[in-house]
Amino acid sequence: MKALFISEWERLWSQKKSKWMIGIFTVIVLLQAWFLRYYGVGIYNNDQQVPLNTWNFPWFLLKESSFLLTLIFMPVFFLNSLNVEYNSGAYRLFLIRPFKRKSFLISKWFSLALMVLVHLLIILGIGIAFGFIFLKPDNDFTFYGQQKNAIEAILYTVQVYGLFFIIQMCCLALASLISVIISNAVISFFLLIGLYVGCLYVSSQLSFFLLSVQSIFHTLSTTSNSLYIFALIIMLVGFGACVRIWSKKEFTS
Amino acid sequence: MKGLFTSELERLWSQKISWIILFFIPLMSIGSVKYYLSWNERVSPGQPDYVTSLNFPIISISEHLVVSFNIIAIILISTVIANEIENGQLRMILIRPFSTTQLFLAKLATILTTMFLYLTLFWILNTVAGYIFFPKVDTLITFLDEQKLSLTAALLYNVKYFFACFVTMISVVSVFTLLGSISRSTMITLGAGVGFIFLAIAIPQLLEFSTQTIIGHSTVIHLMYMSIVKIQHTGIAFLLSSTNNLNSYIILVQTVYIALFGLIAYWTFVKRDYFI
Repeated sequence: MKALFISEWERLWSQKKSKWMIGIFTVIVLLQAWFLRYYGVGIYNNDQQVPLNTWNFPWFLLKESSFLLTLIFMPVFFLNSLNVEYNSGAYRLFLIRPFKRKSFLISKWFSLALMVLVHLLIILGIGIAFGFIFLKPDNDFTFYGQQKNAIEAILYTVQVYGLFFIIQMCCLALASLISVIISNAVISFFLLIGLYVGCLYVSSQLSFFLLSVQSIFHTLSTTSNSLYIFALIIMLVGFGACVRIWSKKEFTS
Repeated sequence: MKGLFTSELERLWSQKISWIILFFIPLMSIGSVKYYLSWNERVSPGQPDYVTSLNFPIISISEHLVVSFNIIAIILISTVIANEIENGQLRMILIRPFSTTQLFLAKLATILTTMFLYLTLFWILNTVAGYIFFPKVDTLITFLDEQKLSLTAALLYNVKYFFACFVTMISVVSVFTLLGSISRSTMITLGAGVGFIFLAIAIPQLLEFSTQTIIGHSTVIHLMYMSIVKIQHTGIAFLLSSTNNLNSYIILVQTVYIALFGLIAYWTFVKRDYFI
């Protein structure tokens, strides 16, 4: 299992496109950080905004780059690993190895989760660095009507990034479910994005796919649990169904 | 060469995805009929943006070019070019005694023919839907210079608009072909293409906000119309109006797009070693 995970991780990094994509992502996040500092305010929602400082800069940087991450970079990574590799026939060679069917899929999930973490760490690193270099630390500031000090703000950063990671895992569950059912990579890409946009229309509680950071702010500042519940349901159903279909799938076509 | 083109066309149309797009085009048309019927309740007749049977195809396509048709172009290119390079199918095709130049031209011709087919189908459906659902008039009021065109002139205007739309699609196709032949990967082509459309929508919007503050108005207009999506959305109306000095600029931008991106795409596609 561990060896399978390492092989998966190495395969992700041996492709030239992964390195290019991470490079481009870093450049775009740097540009976004520069833009955000240029405007100088963190917009929480339509009526509330706060001046930026060292402590809240990483949250708003994540808010800026979350769109890019959920709509372009993560779907490309997910479907490239889950769908294209299998379609091009390369994956059949890996399936020869004497492991359980399930463990192939689980090792893919682990390596992709690690990839999400790498991207989040890039954003967090740039956010912290920019915050300390260009902005002033402000030890007492209000955020969403709550008074926060520096320690609380650091804890809040961890919570925001953690919840964002959980939302990305929901996206991974949906992406793998789609790519197990539909073999065409192009259709699965647009179906995935269509699902994110469709969730926006179905219910405001499901809007966390696209408006992820807004919903995280909302969840952390109020007592509503809907994000946790929906995330848990989507992850359980998605990953569970995926394992079942994958174990019974014919790898002949 | 003709055989190569036929085989490319057959290979594209033997895939499910091209038929799915064909199925979506009537849905897109129905969507715009529904949207513009409710739009008409807010606009008074006589305005250029009051939707009638004559200008419905124009108004509908200028909304749909921006997202739907650009996405269709990405899908076609990632199936015809990127996917075939990625899973090695292209090597089988290159066994045949054709040069990579011929193959590139055949692929481009396939994409453009299919695109033309989709656009024509959408246009015909919209013309029919316009006559069924929208108020029948015999004069068309053009955008910007607000000329009143008679029936024949209006039909001519429609045809001109359609061909201008097709030319913008050629520029978009040349950009995406470049992305496809550089990345050689389906997912990267999709991601980069969607990213390109985002940028091309967002940058003119951002520039519009900063009109008064940073840069002068005439410079902003020229910068804005460097984006091909902005040209698709409103630029074609500028191109066809007689009073504006922007028409030659838009033609220049399109030529640069087609020539520059098309040539780089050709060069990267042809010079690549496909046998490793």
